Amino acid sequence: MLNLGPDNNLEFSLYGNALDRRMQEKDVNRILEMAPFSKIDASKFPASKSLQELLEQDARLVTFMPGDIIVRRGDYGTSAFFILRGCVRVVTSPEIEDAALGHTPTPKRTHWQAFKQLWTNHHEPEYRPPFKGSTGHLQTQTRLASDTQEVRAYLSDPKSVIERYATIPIQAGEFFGEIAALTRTPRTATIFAENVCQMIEIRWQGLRDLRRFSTEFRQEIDQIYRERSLKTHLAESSLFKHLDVHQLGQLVDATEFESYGDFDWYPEFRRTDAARHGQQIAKEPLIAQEGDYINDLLLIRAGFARQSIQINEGHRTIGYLGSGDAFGLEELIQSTQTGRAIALKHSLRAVGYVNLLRVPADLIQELVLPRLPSRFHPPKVPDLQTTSQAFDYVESPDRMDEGLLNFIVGGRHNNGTATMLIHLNRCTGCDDCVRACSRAHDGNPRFVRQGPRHQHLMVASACMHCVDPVCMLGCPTGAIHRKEITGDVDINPKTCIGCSNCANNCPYDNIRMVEVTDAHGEPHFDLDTERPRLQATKCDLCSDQVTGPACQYACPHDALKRIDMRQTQSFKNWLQP
Amino acid sequence: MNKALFALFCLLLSWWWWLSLERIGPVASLTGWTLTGCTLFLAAYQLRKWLSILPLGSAQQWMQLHVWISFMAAFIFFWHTGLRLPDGLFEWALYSCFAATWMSGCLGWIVTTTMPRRLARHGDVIIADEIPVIRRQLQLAADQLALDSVSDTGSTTLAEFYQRRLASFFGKQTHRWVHLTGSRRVHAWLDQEFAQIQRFMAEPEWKNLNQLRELAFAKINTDVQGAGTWLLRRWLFVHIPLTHALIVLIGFHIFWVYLFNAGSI
Repeated sequence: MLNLGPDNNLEFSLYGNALDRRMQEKDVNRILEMAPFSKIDASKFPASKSLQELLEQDARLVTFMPGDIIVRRGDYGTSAFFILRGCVRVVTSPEIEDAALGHTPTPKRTHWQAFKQLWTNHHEPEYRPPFKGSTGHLQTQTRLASDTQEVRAYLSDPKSVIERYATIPIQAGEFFGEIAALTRTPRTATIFAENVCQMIEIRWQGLRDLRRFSTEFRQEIDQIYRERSLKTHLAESSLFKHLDVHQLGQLVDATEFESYGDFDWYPEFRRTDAARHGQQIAKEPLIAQEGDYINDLLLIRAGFARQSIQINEGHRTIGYLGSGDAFGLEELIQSTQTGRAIALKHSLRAVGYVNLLRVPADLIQELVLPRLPSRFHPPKVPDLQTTSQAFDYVESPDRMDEGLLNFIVGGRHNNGTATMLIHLNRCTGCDDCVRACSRAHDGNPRFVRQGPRHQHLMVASACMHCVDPVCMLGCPTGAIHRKEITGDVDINPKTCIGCSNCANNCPYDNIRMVEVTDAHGEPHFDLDTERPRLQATKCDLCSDQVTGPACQYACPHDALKRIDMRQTQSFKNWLQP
Repeated sequence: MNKALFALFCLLLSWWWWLSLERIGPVASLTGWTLTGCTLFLAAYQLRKWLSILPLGSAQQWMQLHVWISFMAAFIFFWHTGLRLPDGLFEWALYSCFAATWMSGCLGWIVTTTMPRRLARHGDVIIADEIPVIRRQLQLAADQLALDSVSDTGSTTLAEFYQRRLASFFGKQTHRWVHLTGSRRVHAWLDQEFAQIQRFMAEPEWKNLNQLRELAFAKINTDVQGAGTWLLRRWLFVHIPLTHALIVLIGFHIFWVYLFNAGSI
């Protein structure tokens, strides 16, 4: 029997059992007696997936021991937590050191250290210094959770952490982690268990369905989102910079957020034949339909969306939108100027998944447009009355070639912030890039000069440092993480336990598992499994090198470039002959 | 004491330099040393590749400088030599080595700026390491097709045609120099061969013939890519040894110039 606090005197038979199993019916029934679940009207749920079934399938009970790190700042999570018993602490300031979270600060080498690599690089492939203990030379302490058998990082002395750091307690009966789970955005703070905590962990699919079918639950979650994050997010948008606090508050109160598509887009993407990636447009969830009158301004919060127009029976891609982009602004401006309703000139579809904010059009027209500087006005879209005009618009020279756009969006290359592109009209195959990469990584190149191609463009097999880094989902030790300053995705070799989660998740096969060796070229063995120890390796953008990415720095013909695919103008400029 | 010795050494060096200027002539000395500096800088590009992890400027910047300075070096070379032909065996060696190095560099520059575009235009670009693998795959596929055609159609025409006319073509890189000139001679030859053999084949055999034709044209692309990547890599095997030889010859040249002019005071 567990004491869940004054309002939650419930028994949970499942505590102590393996929690990767589905919850039992009686557990679900007891959860449904608790607020906020008790407020949910179960009759609103479809027969195909009742509330009971939803909780059974998309939620699980988990137990955290004191000090267990539940959520790591910067990690990408796919689930939210509801505390049944115990207390967790949110670290607010100062931040817990990177090393304690399993991350690695990689300082730049000095010039001398860079030069020294010429003779200090090891001859053996994938050399690593000796590991200590069976789980590796870990700065972060890890232990196996008795219930889920998952590896968890923990803080050995949570009490001293509470004394040394400013923390906020979250008690039983509260949610946390729902924003990152619903929007696939990084966790904004580190949260650890102060004492033994029992929680319900709800997958994003479950959260999505609970929001979809239960108005009460949606209002509850949306209210948390508004309080904790929406105001900050809107204030950061360049469109709303000129608004005062009161006006921003009006927008916050009226804004709704929605998700389209599937967070788990990558397993399906990996299975799909590359040649058919470009034909996916018809399957992509429609967010806004060309020709419909505009009611809201759509702001992309996370994920990607494809803009297209219909010509005859086909959809022609004209661009893609990512985090921070707005859809419908041009039509709203025109509508304000002409005083009549303007229909949408493009359709918008979710590529993979997209999370967006709907800001009511009348508020935008009233508060935002009158004082919006003209530099934020999007280019005017002409009225496309005839097929010929539509073709002229799609194929205008200042627009990116449609085939190339389809290649980028279909192959999800737009996910990259440092995609390695090779211009085949300029590449002489000299391999200077590979040699430079190898020299910068102790003799081990971190990319393969091959990959999908479109005309004279090749996307090489190198980590793209994605906007939506699905590789980071489920890393048990936080070894793979996004660097706070640069945003690069990096792997800490000291905390990587070789579980292969990241390599299996990467939709582009850009992470490789390698057998690590000692100074004599002999493999390191895991003392527990007695098998050669594996570690994940990938491009780290030469973050410790003084030159930046060695591959790009070494290319004499401007044939290789690391490009942020959101910067379409610089991409287009580089493609020019 | 050390400073005094160093000052004395510098004084002697300056005096010797001044004398050499008088004997060699200020223009020849200036252009000669500038040319030496240019050559050493141009040769340092190879060193830069080795030191790619040091912030010495990007390879692209070095490449641009390499091209411009090599053109400047040609101009200074003609100034230095006074547009006269060399005199004596050593001067001939130095002169021709410089000319060969410069021309091989020019050839390399032209090749590296035009060949990738030509290869991309011709067909699928194939990475050099993959070429032998793809060639072998094509050969095996063609072998199998020829064998299958006998059992499929009961006729040996295609198999014999393959054996007599195409087996060696599929077996190795062919027509390298033809492809390097950009000629379509091989395409025309294959078109002609296939057109001729088709006249002797019954319609049911055409399917296999067309498949073989596709393989043959894929093989041409492999050969074109192979020839292009061969030239893209091999021109350096001429340019770099010539550069090293040039540096050695320049060293001897300077030594002898000072030995027999300024040095013999």
